[in-house]
Amino acid sequence: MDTRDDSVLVSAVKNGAPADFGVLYDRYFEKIYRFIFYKTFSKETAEDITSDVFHKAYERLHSFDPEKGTFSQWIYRIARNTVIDHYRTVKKTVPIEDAFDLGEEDRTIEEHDALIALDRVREFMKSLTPRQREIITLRIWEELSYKEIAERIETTEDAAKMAFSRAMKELREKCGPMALLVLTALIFSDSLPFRELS
Amino acid sequence: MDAAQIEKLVDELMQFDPSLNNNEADLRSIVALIVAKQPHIEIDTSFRETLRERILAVQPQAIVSPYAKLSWWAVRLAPIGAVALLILTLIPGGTIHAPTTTVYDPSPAQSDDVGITSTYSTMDAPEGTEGEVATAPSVATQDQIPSPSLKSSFADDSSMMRMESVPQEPLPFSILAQLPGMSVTVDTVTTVSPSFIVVYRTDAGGNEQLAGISPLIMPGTTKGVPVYLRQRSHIGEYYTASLVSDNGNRIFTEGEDMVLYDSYGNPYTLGFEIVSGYFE
Repeated sequence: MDTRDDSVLVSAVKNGAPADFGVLYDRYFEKIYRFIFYKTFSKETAEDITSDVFHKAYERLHSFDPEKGTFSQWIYRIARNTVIDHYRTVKKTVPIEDAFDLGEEDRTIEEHDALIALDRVREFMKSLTPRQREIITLRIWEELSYKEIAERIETTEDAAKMAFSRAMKELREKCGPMALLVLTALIFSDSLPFRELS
Repeated sequence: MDAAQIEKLVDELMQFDPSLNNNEADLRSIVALIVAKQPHIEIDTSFRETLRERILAVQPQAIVSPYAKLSWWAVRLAPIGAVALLILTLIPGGTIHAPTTTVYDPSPAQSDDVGITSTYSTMDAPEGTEGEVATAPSVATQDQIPSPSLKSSFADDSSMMRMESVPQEPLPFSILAQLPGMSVTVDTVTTVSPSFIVVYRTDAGGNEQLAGISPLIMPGTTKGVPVYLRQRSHIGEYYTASLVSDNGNRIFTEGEDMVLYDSYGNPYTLGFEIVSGYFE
């Protein structure tokens, strides 16, 4: 396993060792793919956008300036913008902040079923801002630390903590006590791993 | 995320915002539900590996850019130089002629008059193939076309109308309409020097974007050459494929590897469309 720092690998690629981009690719492929999947909920769309992100990163590596941020921040920014651009191109008539509500027709039946199950959460999450949703998925689904979240959304660790707690607070207020009762029942009816919580 | 981690997360939330202390049970329910509904992600390993190969088959522009090491003043003065050159070109009786005037000249005889052999280079052809270049159009390379992406600028040229009457030779490659997907297949390619098939996507505004590059094609006739696309193609999209000569480093570099031309000056470029099914 190559343990060289991202910045060292970037320099190597810039200095004529393009194969070292393969190390960066191996390091970031899954992270970027998951990041995009959670924004699109479509395997096909996630693959298309992931492909575009890595091509862009490879081609534009010369423009990456390590003094302005880390490679991680840079490639996540490309991913975020590419998701927005993708839906802007495909759905010109839909105002887009993120792709949380889009891409229905691209999904397989299994993905669609998973999405229906997710709808109960989405009902409430839709009322949050795209940035709040991103923080929630990064913390709860990706299990990233606040430091990692801060790097990805380009803010400070404290700001990431505050943004997460504020998002959860809003979610709780929007759900209301009755909805939470239903949600809790759902957890224990169709998600066995969480029975231990009771 | 297991139950212990959920508890930890809820504790964190209450620590960040003490006003949440009375809502511990609600927070636990919300976090648990979000965790429970996490979509399962299965990554296609063949997609992962294929994408890796495709990306690394292309040399990033900056590494080989001839402008990369120019000082800042050279870059800034370049537009002034270009304007000066344009003015000189437009002066009646001037001695500088745009090289493009010979590109689409309809008359082969006239092309000879202006020295087409100096216009077309054989630098990329293997040693000993120079004779073939004169007779085998499939390897004629034009130095004045630095990149396939510049083809559109020639399309705007007033000589475009003349181009229609220019004699043409058969293309050394063929590609039919394609089904939507992450790749297209070139039926057959015949070349006498290592080459690539480079595919561009044409958008609604007529702009071309690099969409995919084939693996290096060795001299001879090759059938069924795959070109992996950066993005999935969709029905109704229009693409162009060009035959591009490798400059010797076996890696396609936009701006360095040249589009091949026939002896009449026609680029080896072919358009094709993405369709819903093959016609009988």
